Amino acid sequence: MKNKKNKLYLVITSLLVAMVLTACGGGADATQPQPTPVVPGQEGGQAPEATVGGGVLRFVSHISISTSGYVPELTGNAALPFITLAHESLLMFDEQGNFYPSLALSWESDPSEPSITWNLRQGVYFSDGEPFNAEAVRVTVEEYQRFGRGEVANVAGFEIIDNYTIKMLLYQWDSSMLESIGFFVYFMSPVALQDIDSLRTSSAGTGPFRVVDFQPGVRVVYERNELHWREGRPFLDGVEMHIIEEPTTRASAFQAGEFDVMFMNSLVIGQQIMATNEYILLENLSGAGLVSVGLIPNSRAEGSPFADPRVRQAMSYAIDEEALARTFGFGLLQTTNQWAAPGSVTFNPAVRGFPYNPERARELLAEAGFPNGFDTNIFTVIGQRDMITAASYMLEQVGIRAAVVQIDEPTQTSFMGEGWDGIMMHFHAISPNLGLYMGRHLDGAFYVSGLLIPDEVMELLGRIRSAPTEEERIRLEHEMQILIYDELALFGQPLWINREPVFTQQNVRDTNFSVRHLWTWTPWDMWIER
Amino acid sequence: MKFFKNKLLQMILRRIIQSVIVLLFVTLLVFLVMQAVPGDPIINFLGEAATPEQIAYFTALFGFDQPVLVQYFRWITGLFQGEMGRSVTFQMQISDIIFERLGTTLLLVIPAFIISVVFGVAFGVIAALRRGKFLDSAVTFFANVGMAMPNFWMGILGIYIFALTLGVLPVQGFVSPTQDLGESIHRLIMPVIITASGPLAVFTRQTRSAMLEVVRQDYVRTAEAKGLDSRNIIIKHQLRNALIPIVTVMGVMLGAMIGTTVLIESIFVIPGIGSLMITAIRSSDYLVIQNGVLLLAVAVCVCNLAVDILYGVIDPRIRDAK
Repeated sequence: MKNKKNKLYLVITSLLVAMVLTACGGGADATQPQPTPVVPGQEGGQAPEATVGGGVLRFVSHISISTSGYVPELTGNAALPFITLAHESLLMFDEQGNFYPSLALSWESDPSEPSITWNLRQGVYFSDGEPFNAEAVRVTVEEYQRFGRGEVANVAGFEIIDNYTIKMLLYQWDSSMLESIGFFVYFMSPVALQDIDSLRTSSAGTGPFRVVDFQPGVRVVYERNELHWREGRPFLDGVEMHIIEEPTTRASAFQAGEFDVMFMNSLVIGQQIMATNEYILLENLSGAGLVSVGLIPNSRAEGSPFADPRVRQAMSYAIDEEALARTFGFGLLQTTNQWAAPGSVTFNPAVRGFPYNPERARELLAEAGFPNGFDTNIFTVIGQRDMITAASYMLEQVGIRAAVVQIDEPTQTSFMGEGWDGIMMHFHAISPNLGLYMGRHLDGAFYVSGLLIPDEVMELLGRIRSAPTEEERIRLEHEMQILIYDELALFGQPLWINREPVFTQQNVRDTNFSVRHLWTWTPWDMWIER
Repeated sequence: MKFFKNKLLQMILRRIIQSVIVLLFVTLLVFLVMQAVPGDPIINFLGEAATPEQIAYFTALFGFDQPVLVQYFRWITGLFQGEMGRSVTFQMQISDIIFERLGTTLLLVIPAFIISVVFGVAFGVIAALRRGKFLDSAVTFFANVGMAMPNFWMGILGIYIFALTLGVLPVQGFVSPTQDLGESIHRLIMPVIITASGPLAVFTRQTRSAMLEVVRQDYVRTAEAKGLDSRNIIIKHQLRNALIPIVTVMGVMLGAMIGTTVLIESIFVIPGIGSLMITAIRSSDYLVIQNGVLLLAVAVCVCNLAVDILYGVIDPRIRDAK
């Protein structure tokens, strides 16, 4: 009876929340040939006899993709659960955030040439029967370039040394290239790429499954790729990826047993599902692929008080992020004071951050010439209104009178591209490579128009990107954390890392969803206990 | 020439011309509104990793860099050629997406409409004939509940009772009848009933009121005095005369039901026009929104036209009036 009552509460509460919402690695040494730490596909999973009958795993999320097989078009991390069912990259992340061989057995970086040489796995075939080899790598990377993908813009040319060894020549050495090419390029059959229109709604990768039905915004159905190279894998007969944007329905359908794995983007509902103790919660271990949230002031707008670093620091001191995370995070948010998850390789423990100190905030405002504070705006979308209202109250206590302005999600996106007048939420991926991820927010298309970026930041970013060794890159990244946050408060106040929960039914095994990277899994290993 | 002398056909022609003017006005309005609304479909599509060069390339590819008037006329001329444009979000021809989804929406709306009309009129007649009795009170009570309770709330209650508690119906999903008829019906039962519930209540109330209006008319008393059997009197004399206000409501409710699908399709995960519109709005996919709104406007115009024709069929005085 109590269980039923709880379910009713869950359904009602989550509906109300949903209605409101409706009205959203420390890589391995880049310079050395890498050993093969483990053989992918042999490191986990159960004996095949435990999975007699295979079965079909049903996954549900709010994420939609525009194509199932033409991968260059899928630019966001959120598409990775779909991509990685049918396609593979050269490298993957392990639980520590280090690179892990996938289609590449080893790699050698040469910052002086500059180049990266890949030693490819042999005996691998695309699902259309075409062999995976150096030529296939060249064709896919060139297709990514043709599409304008930034990850491969630095590739100047190729030298095919033999059928399974390819050297990529770079315009300039960039320490993020290993991740850009190794993790973000997913390989497609060169023959299939000759008919992109057909490929858009099918797939031709080397992954454990292949697409048999693609309905945009509804579902993508995969069946076992019989040509997959991991012996005895995959265990499952197929995977169905369903798209349900409405979180209440998604949660109800999961609870009714209509799905085996659920990605939940509503913290309120996620917390309620957790409270039932009936499902397995998967948690990210590496810090890769996570999304961090902060409050970012526009320092570039004409006459903006936030042009002064002391005002940005004052804003940061005024926010009690621990209280906000406690109140609005339901135990699913982890606070941070920089562009990294605590414990990950890019995290610098020396960063002091801005622990809640309203007195210090008032002092800094007075020093900056605002002893009586000033008026500004703080923008929120409907789902974050309560949290932003609380933050505006905290700011008001030190004299920053920030009027809460509600905007819709498209407006928020346009602000990211075009600038904003005041303070807004800052969203960014925190995978452990600042040159790649933070770099996008310093010379990319997002947030840049709202930031007054000092030359020293760009100079340090350049040094990170051209760091010859992994150790040097990490050392410079730690420097960058101090410069960006402690000294300049350029991105304002980091608040927390959103550990968006992924739930599975009790009988689902070895998905490793989000464990190594928020958006990846090990589909060849997963199985359903009968 | 005989065609133009037929007053019913003249009326239909006149209403079609009016509808075309209305639709052209709708295209202009929805286009201007979409231009004024902030948000960039290209930025949404490309995501955080987008480079300025990529954004510029795709903006030009979709023609969003063209002057507003050029974009509008390109859309309109495309419509006359059967081209709705290409969706940024889905990267497909919009006509392909919309017409596929329209079929799904109609599978939800048409059964719901038929159920609401048949049962609404029947319940209304029963309530009027049993005025003041228990049956009338019961029907009126449930009609009031049906009108007062929002669709989304009924949807959630339905999911809780029939899916989570009793486990007799699925929470969500759609299966095409051509794929599996039984499963298709199984999955459509709850959304169809919930879509029908509000209009059913309205038809019940409307029919009851209209029947009570005509029940005291002289011609009904005359028919009774002539000794006609009561079934004949109810159907031929009372109900037919009560139909005009009911038909008016039918037109309005059919349009409203199509609009309701936005919520119902989202709750029950039915890939129709409603859920498509939600996805398009969230991703600022202007062209999909424009074409979707236009399609809804066409549906409303067709409903109104059908109602006007039905008026003429039911009541010759309307058909013959200048």
